[in-house]
Amino acid sequence: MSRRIWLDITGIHPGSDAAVFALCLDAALRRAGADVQPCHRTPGMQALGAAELTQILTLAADEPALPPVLQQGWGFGARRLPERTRVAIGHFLRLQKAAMAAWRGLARAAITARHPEQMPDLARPNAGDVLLMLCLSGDAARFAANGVLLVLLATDTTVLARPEWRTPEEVAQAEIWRRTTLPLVAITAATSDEGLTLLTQAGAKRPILLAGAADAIGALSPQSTHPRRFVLAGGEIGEAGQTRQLLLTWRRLQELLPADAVPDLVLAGPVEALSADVLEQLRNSRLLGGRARLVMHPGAELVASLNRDCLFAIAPSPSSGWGRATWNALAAGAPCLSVFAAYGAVPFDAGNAAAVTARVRAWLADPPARPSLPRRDWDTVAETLLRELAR
Amino acid sequence: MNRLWVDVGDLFNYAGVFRRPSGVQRVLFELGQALAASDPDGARTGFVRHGASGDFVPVRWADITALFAGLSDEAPAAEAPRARKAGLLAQAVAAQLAALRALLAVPASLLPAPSDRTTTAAPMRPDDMLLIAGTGWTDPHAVARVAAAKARCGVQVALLVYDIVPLRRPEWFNPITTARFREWLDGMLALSERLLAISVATAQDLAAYRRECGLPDRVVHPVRLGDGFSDQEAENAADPGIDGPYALFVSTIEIRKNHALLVDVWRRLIARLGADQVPALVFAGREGGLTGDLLAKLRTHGGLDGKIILRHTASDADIAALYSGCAFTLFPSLYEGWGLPVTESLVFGKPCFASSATSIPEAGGRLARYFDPLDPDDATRQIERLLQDPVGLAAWQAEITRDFRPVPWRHTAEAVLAGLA
Repeated sequence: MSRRIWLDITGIHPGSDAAVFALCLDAALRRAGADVQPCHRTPGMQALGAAELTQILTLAADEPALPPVLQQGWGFGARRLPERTRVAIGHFLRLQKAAMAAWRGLARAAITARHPEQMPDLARPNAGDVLLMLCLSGDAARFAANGVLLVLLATDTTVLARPEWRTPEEVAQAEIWRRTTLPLVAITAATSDEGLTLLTQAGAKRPILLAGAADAIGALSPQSTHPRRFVLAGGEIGEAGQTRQLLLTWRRLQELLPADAVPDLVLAGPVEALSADVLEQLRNSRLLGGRARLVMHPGAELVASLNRDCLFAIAPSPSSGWGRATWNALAAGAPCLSVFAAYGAVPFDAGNAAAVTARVRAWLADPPARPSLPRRDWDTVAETLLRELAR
Repeated sequence: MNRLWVDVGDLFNYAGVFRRPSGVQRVLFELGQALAASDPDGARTGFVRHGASGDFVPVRWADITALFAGLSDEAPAAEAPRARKAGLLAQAVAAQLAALRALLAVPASLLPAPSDRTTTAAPMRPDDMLLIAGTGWTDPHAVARVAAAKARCGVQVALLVYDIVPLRRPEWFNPITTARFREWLDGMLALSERLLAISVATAQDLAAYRRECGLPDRVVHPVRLGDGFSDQEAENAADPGIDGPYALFVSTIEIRKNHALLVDVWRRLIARLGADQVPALVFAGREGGLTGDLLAKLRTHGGLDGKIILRHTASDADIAALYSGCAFTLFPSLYEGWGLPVTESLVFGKPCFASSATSIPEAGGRLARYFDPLDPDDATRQIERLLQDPVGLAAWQAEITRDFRPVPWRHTAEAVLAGLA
C-alpha cells in the first residue's frame, strides 16, 4: 500500500499498555513495509521522529504515592473567632470553591471551542492518507474533509454502551467519530464480539476486528515491591472502572474477615473520567487504612510484575481495551476475575459489590490454578491491519 | 439526678448560618420539646447554650421554639441550574451569587446573639446531669467547655451518640472532619458518666469502639427516637407536580446514601421491563459530598432519559407533598445511626424498600422491606416484583396504615430519663 499511515498517539499515557501497543504496532507496520508517520495533536498536528515517539511513549509515569493530605485545620487566629463565624466562613469557602469550579468550567469550554483555530498544524496528512488514531481524542474529524481516511483503533465502546460513565465532551466526540471514522476493533478476538455488535448497532462505518495485542509486556518483569500479599485490580480507575464497587467490596471483606485474612488491594490503571470522587474517598481513608495502594497510569513493566506477584487479578472495567487488563493478568499467569469471559478468566458482575465479595472470599479460601496463555505475534496484527486498510 | 441540663447550643450555632434544620437539629428540638412538656415549670429540666465566656448559660425553651420556628427553608445554595439548557454561564453566576450571599452572612455572625449577653453561668450542681446531644465535633471548644463545667461545678455528663460513621468509614469525610470527630468523641467519652445511642446498632458500634480504644466496658443505652416531626403535615400536602407514578428517595445527595445503587437499579429495571413500565425515581435533597461524578453521570444521560428527577431545593412542604404522592419510597443507605427517612415514610403511610445495613432495620421494623445495599440484583428483583404486583403494593400500604403506630417523642424523652437515672 503506497499511502502513508499517520500513527496518531494523542491522548496515550507514557508507559501505559496503549503506549506499548503503539510502539509494537509502529515497529510491526514498518517491518511489513508500510509508510508510517507517527504524530500527535496538541491540538495542532505535529509529526514525530522514531526517537521522539519512543521518548514520548516510554517516559516513566508511575505515580505510586498520593498527594499529601491537607493536615492543617483552622489556624491560631481563626480558632479565636466565634464558632458560628467559623461555620459561616467555612460555608462561604465551600460555596466559593463551587463557584470557582463553575467559572473554570466556563473558561475551559470557551478555550476548547477556540483552540482548533488558534493552533496551526505543523504537518498535515494528504488526501488518501490514513490517520490511525490510537485513542479517541480531540478534533481529528476536521481532516476527513480533506480526503483523509480516519481510522480509530477502538479498544472499547464504553462511550456507546454506557455514556453515563463518560463526560459529555467524550459523548459528543464519539458521535462525530461514529459518523466520520472507520473503527478498527482491537485487542482480543474472544472479547471483542460485544464491541463489534455495539459498533454495528450504533451505525459505525465498517467495524473491523483486529485481534492480538499487548503480548510484548510479558517479557518485561522486574520484581514488584509490594510488601504484603495483594489482589490486583487492573484497568481504569473511575466510574467505568467500578473502583467505587471495589472499595465497598474491601470494606465488607474487612467487616467479614479477620484483618490478617484480607489481602491488600492494589489499584493500578489509568485515571479516567469521573474519578474525582473515588480518588477523594481513597485519600480520605488514607487508602483504606493502609490496606490499599493506588498506582495511577502504571507502566507496562510494573503492570507485568504486579500481575505476576498478585494472589489473583480483578478486571472490573468493561472499557479497558476489551479485556486488556484480563489479557495482561492471564499472560502473566495470574488467575483473573473479569467482566469478560475469555481465555479462562472467570466472569463476574463487577457492578455488584456483594457478588464480588463472595467471589473474592471463595478465591481467598480456595486459590485457583494459575493459567497459561499462548503468545501472540505482532506481525500478524500488522498484516491484518494493512489488509483491512487496503479494502 | 437532681436536674437535667440539655445543651442546645448546637441549635443556635446552626441557626446562625443555615436556614433549614438537618436531622440532628430536628431530633434535638423534638427531644427538648418533649422534655420541656414533661416538666412545664422547668424544675427538673433546663436548657443551656454556649455563652461568650465559654460557660453554659441558661436559655428559655420559648427562645428555642422561636429560633427553631425561624429555621425556614434555606435559599438554594450552590444549587445552580443543572440542566444542560441552562448553560455553564448561568451555573457560574448562580454559584457565585450563592457564595456572595454566604459571604454576607459572615459579618452578621460576628455580632453576639441575644443570649450571648447573658453572662451568668447555668447553676449546675454535682448531682445535676448535662446532656450533650448535638453535633459537638463541629465546635473545637466543645470538649474544653464541658470539662470546665465539670471542673467548676462537678456536673455529671451524658452523651447521646448519633453514629460514629466518620471513624468507621473515613473515606466519606474530609480528613479534618474525621480528626475533629475522633478528638471530640475521645474527649467526650472520657468526660461522660452516661452513654446513650439512638439505636442498638449505634450502641454496639460505640461499645466496640470503646473496646478498640482500651476503655473499660460501659453500658450504652439505646434510645428509640420518635417518629415524625411536629412541623410535618401529611394531611395538607400539596400537589408534588410530577406526572405519573414515582418512587421517592428523600436524603441529602451524598456518597454514603448510595444514590448510585438506585441509578443502577433503575437502569436495570428499564432494560428488563421497558421505560413505560418503570416509574420515575425522585431524589429529593440537597447536594452533599462526593457525588459530583454521580451527578455528572446523571447529566450526561439526562437522568436516564428523564426517569430520574432531582429536587435539590425541596422545602418541607414539598417533601410532604412528594411523600403523599409517591407509590413507595427507597432508602439504600450504606451506613446510618438510625434511619429517619424510613420512619418518615411510614409516618406518611408509604411502603419503604430500605437497606439492610446497620441500624436501618431497627427503624423500619417489620413494616419496611430490605435489600443488601451492595447488591443491585437483590434490589432490582424486589422492586421489579413489586412493580408487577400492584395488589401486593396496595396490601403493603394498607398494612402500614393499619399497623404502624408512631412512637411519640414523649417516649423518647422518658427513655432518655430512664437511661440517665
